[in-house]
Amino acid sequence: MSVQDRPATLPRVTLPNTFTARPRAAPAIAGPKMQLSGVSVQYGTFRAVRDINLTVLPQAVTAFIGPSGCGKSTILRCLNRMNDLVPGARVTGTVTLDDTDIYGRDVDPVDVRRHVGLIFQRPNPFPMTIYDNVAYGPRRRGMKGGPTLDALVERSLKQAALWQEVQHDFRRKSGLALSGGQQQRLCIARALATEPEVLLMDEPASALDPIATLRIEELIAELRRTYTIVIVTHNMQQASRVSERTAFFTMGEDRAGYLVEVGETSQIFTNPNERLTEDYISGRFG
Amino acid sequence: MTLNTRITDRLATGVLWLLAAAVVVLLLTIIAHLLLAAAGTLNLSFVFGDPSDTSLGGVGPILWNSFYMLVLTMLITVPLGLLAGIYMAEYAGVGRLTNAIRFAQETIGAVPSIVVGLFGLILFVDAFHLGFSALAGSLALTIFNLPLMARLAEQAIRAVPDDERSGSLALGSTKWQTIRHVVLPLAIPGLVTGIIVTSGRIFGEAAALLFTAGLGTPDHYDFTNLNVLDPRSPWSPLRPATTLAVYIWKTNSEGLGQFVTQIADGASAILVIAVLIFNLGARLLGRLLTRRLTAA
Amino acid sequence: MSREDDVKDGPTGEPLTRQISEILDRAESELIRAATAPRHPPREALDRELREIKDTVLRMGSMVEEAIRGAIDALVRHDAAAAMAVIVGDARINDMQRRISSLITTSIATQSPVARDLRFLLSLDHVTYELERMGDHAGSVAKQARKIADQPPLKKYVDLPQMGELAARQVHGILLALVEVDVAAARSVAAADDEIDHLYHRTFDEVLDLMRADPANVDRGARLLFAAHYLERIGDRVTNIAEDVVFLSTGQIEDLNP
Repeated sequence: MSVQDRPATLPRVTLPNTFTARPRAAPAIAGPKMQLSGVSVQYGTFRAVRDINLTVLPQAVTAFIGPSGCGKSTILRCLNRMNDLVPGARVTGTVTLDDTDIYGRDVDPVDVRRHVGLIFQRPNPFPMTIYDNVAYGPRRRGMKGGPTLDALVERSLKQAALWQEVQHDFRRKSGLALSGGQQQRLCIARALATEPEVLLMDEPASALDPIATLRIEELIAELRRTYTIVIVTHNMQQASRVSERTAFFTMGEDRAGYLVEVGETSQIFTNPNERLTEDYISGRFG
Repeated sequence: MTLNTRITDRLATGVLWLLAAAVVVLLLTIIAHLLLAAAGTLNLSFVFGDPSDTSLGGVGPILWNSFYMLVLTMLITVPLGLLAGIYMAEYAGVGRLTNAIRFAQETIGAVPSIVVGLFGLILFVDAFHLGFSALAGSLALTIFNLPLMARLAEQAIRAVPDDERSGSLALGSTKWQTIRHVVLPLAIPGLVTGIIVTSGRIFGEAAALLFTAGLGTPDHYDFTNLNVLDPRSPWSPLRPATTLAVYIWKTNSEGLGQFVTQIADGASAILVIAVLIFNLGARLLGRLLTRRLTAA
Repeated sequence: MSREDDVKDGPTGEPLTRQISEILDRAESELIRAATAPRHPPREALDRELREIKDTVLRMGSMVEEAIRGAIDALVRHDAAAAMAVIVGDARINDMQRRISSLITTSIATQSPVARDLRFLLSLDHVTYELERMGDHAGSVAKQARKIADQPPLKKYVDLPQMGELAARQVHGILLALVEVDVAAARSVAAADDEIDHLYHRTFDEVLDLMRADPANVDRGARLLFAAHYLERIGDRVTNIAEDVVFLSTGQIEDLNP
């Protein structure tokens, strides 16, 4: 090929500035999955969290980071109305799931929790067989035993990457007889069995060893193709590894938590807008 | 560690061991004394035979009554106590009503059992026209055992960790579903302990039964009579039912026959052995239940 | 300094000279800047490593400056021994680059830096690479000097020494801008590259004319052309470092050498 054959100008190539290895399945709905507007939470007279405005995008992982006591877990629990169970807790503002206010007058909190599941910090499997653990949610909703329930249990265990390890004795073995990491995956399978749309995770790996932690992270990367995930974590590296969007909270002078900055994870960790955010993620807080 | 602290530590350990040993020794002494005293009397004909005016006789029907009273009372006390315990542990808030309930619980439980017996006489025996009957006795026993059962049930339910409750609720189940499927199965060991403690009190109770279940000495029980309403059937709650504890008191206080001491000793020994067996059995049952319900 | 200059009165009432008042003004503004600068909370281990890496980079920069000046000097004076010294000295510059790169890798692996800290380390890694190449270019200039050392000078050297001096000053300037993360200074240093390019073109034309005039000039002329080319490359690399300074400060990658 000679010099004459080269085109006068080279075609423009736009290169992505985020990894293509973080693909996102096209979301089923356009727009935010959940939205918090002006949300404040009070426990009695103490205001724990003030004026949160936040969007949770569908089929993506959003991480909440921030120092201890800044209200990340409180905000997380607003998303499935678990704060209702704390006596004296009051939530103001709107929290919507697909445009429906979950704190609306005619909304049943029990129903909300079927759509928005929660995984706790310490694995808490029930003292029942693995099968019964996973079948718990569907059974309470009225599903009877049989091939449908069996299929649901198997599917949930597969989605939680636990099937391989328990498929031989999951009908007899107690949930408590599993290792820590397995128990947490069992809790995830249990939550998935209710077929939620959103999965909330409150520091899901903090009670686990590093290997188990990495497996949970891989699982999250798989799950976000289908579900919307919000994860609270103390571990910044985990937040940066696992999420597409990161929200940084901190505690103000009035001891109430507030949102400092939210954005794409790649941007937050390479060039955040707020000084406070930069100091926190650089480990230079306080 | 200095010499002083080491000596103190050894001393404390020694003293505590000694005290624990003393308690065990005391218990063994009492049991041994009772068993030895009754050594001559205890045989199958005594344990299961009918009482007799002339010879030594037996305490068969009396033994039956003791167990019958126990079962009947527990049938009433346990469900009520459990429900009360569930309410106090899961539903009751903090406030005047809850405080009032607690106060009532503590007070009733502290009423002397003889007073409860007299109350039972007035209410169940006379006003309800039950006469001297097992049912009247059971109701009287329920009055002052229910608060205890409720308290122990409440404690057993409170002891279930909140993690389990949260887990269930986060899966979109209601409060009652959580209680029924998660909390209660986990509370079984505590509940069984509660039942054992309450049973112990009931089995050995005498004062409350004096004026409610009657003092008569049955001569023979026809167990083939299954008519529950017939006061002659041992299966009926409408008949008087003298229990072992009451019988011991009666025999000793009347003190007329020549076999008084043997009967008293023998009955006491049986009472203690029965309580021991019952305790062990109840524990085994509790363990079995826990294993089955929690698949551990 | 004339009496008509604007003078202030000092604390004891005496009139101050302009220079002194300028110094005082500058000191005052420094203090204000230090007092109002956003406090960057410390992280002991990482900060220590960053300082060490920064100092080593600055040392490497002055070694490169010396090499440039030394090479040009050897060329102008036709001094073969001096040229040899520069060529041999390049090995030390290469060693330094390897050492700094290793420190940076260790820091990134063990300290998990993010945001500014990470950008700083990545920039410095790139800068040391550029410095090492600049050192190579200076060495190449020295090699040309060695080749023509035993011949008489082709012409009066005017532009080449100027290019050399400019290049060395640019290296100095850009490293200062890097350490201060001064984007404005970086941009102005990058702009000064035009001056080097201008000198390069002039030298190019001149030497070409000389070579066309007499074939005996071709040998020396070609070597001079090469030397000028390497100096011009050094200037380009300074521009690359300027882009690193912008990236470090803003997180954006800008092209300062279109």
